Order: sequence, then C-alpha cells, then structure tokens
Amino acid sequence: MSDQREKIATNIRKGVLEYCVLASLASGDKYGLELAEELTARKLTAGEGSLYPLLARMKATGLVETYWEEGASGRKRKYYTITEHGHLMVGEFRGVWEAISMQVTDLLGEQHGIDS
Amino acid sequence: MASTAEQYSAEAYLRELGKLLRGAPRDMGVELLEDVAQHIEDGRALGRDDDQILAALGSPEAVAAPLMAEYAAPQERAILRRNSLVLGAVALVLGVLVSIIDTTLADTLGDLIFGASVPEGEGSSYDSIYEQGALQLLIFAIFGLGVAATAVMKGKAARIYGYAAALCMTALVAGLITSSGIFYIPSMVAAWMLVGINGRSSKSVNREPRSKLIRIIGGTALLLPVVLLGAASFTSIEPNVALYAYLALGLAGGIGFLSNSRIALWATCANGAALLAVSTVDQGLLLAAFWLAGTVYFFFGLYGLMWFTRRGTAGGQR
Repeated sequence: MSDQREKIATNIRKGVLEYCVLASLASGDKYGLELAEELTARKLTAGEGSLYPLLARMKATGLVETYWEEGASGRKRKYYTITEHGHLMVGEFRGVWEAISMQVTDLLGEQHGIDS
Repeated sequence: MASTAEQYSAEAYLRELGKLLRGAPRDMGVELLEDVAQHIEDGRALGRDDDQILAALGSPEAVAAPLMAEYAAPQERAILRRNSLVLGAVALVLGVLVSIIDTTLADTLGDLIFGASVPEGEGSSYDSIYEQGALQLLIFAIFGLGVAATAVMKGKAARIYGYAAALCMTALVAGLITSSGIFYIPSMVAAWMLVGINGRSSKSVNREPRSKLIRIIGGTALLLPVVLLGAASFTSIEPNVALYAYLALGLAGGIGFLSNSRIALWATCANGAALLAVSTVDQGLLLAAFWLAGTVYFFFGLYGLMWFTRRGTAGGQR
C-alpha cells in the first residue's frame, strides 16, 4: 500500500518539481544544499541528487542563473537565482495548478460523497 | 532509501557518478560532478555524516539518469542516421554491381523484359548486347536507387517506403531464384536492414541481445568453412602454404568476429566487398558462389561495424 503511495507521489512530483524549484527561488536565492533540504523537508523530491541535473537543464533553458558567492563558512558556493523568464513560468504554472487542483479536489469530493 | 547508497564512501560515490557520466558532454558531466561534490562538502560543514548525505542524494544512477537520458537520445539518433546513410550508399553500389552482372549474364531479368534478343551465332550480336546493355544498366541501377532512397527519407514515409522497397526486392529474389535472383540478395538484405533502422525508435537503446545473437551466428558462419577445409586438409587435400595461410586467416577472422575485434569486423566486411566486386568484374564459373560468399562476409562485417558495441565502451553504462 505504501509502495503504491510512493509511486503515485513520484509520478506527480516529476511534473511539478521544476516549478517548485522556481517558486522556492522566487522567495530568495539559494545554494544547492539549501534548495535540496527545503524540497526534501516538504517531501517534494525523493533523491536530492536528481535536483542537480534538473537545475543544469533549467539553467540551459534560461529559467535560472547561477553566481558564486562566499557563504558564512568562508567557502565559495554556487547560488541559484530565478530569471525574468522563470518568474513568468511560475505565473503560468500557478494558473494551471490552481485549475487542476480545484478540479481534482472537486472530483475527489464527489467520489467521497458516493462512497459514504 | 538509505540502503541504496550506504555502501559507498563519498569518494567512491563521486567516482561511480563520474563513470556513469562518461558518455555525457564533458562540461555538463564535470559541472554535475562538481555540484554533487559541493553538496557533500556543504553537508559535512553542517555536521552531517557521509552516510546520511549520500542516502539523501540517492543512487549515482538516479543522479546521472536525467542527464544521460537527455544526451543519449540525440547520440543514438545520430548513429541511426549515419548507419542508414551507409546502408543507402551500400545499396547504391550494389545496384550498380548487379546491373553490370545482369547485363553481361545470359538468361536474366533483362532477358525477361527485353526478350532474349540476341540471335545465336550472328556476327552483330555484340553490338546489340551493348546497345541494350546501357539501357539495362540504367534500368537495373534503379533497384539500387530505389532501396537507397529509403536512407534519405524520414519518419513514417521512410518506414512505409522502406517496407515496400524491401518487399519488392524479396519478390524479385524469390521470383528469379533460379536465374539472376541471387544477385539481388545483397540489395534485399540492405533493404531489410534499412527497414530495421526505420523501425527502431530512438528510445530502444538496448540492442545488446540481438548483437550477441548475430555475433554468434556470424562467427559460426565464418568459422564453418574454415573448420570443414581444415578437416579436409588432414584427409584428402594436399596441404600447402596457401592453404595453411587461408586457414589461419579464416580462423583469426572468425574468432575475431566472435570476440568483437574491430579489425576482424573491418577485415570481414572488406573481404566481402572484395568478393562481390571481383565476382562482378571477373565473372567465372563460380560467380554465384563468390557472390553469395561475398554477401555473407560483407553483411556480417557491416552489421558488426554498425551495431556491435565497441569493446572498452561496453560495460561503461552498466
């Protein structure tokens, strides 16, 4: 049962992870581990490592940019920042997500009604 | 989740990841590796232990997979493209060879179409052979062109046309099997190989099982005459240097083919091409035998060169 749950969650996460990254960056620049920890804490990604290929692709498509900055520990870190195009995409996603989640919730509610 | 990564030390993890990224474009692979290395260091700086960090990262395969999926597909497409162009060129050359044979051979497709127009025993017969010969040459080169055309088509058109061309060639071979049909066998094989390429979606990367099968069949086919001749040399044929040289070469070629040696594949392919060309230029009694042997050598060699995974890169992925 929990296997099925994990499967469903993995499938849904796959489609939204990219926008969750953008949304997280919209509230402030972050370095890799910071971003990974936030997404893991929210249970939005199962493997932190797969975040980096995703970030590389998002950089290549102009959704995010990177810069190097010295952190509190005194070491240089690669920070990710959202681009103008990235902000636009978050806006688009918000519209789609609201519509989808509303409809899905609605359907699930009906289903619940039939069951009980 | 922890069980997948905890057998690695951080260094081994990065080494494994680097190995998996070998096929990716250099800068992208290096960047990803640096990102993950930084992630591990940042985690350590926060006081995590390595097992914890690596477990959260997920397996090296999972980290490399998105990048490799993105870059393996275009690479695969490029290989398919190259192979289909090679086969197209092969079909074209074969078409010319066949048309040469067909114009010079008696009782062929040409005679079926034009009628056996050369009257027996007349002095002027050579003229008429060559007059019609040129025309026939053109007409039979069309089969080569017809098969080769598949190579420059794309998508659905290529798939449908390729099938049609291959079926045509098969019908031609089957219909004329007692006369010139066998000379169209190589063109037919090329046509079906093109069908095979067009039928492959760029996602079906794993052709290892089929390559292995072809390697075994081809190796056996190449070794069989050597073994038979070897056995014969001990019983009936008078042994001489040429025979031993042939046996040694044949043995090396067959074993090389079985063990996927690049040199043996090239040699097999070139040997087949030479047999085909020689049997066209110097048509003798054994024309058909040379032609068929050439066909076998040529296509097994070509298949190996096109599809066998190069040794050394094999096993890099898995």
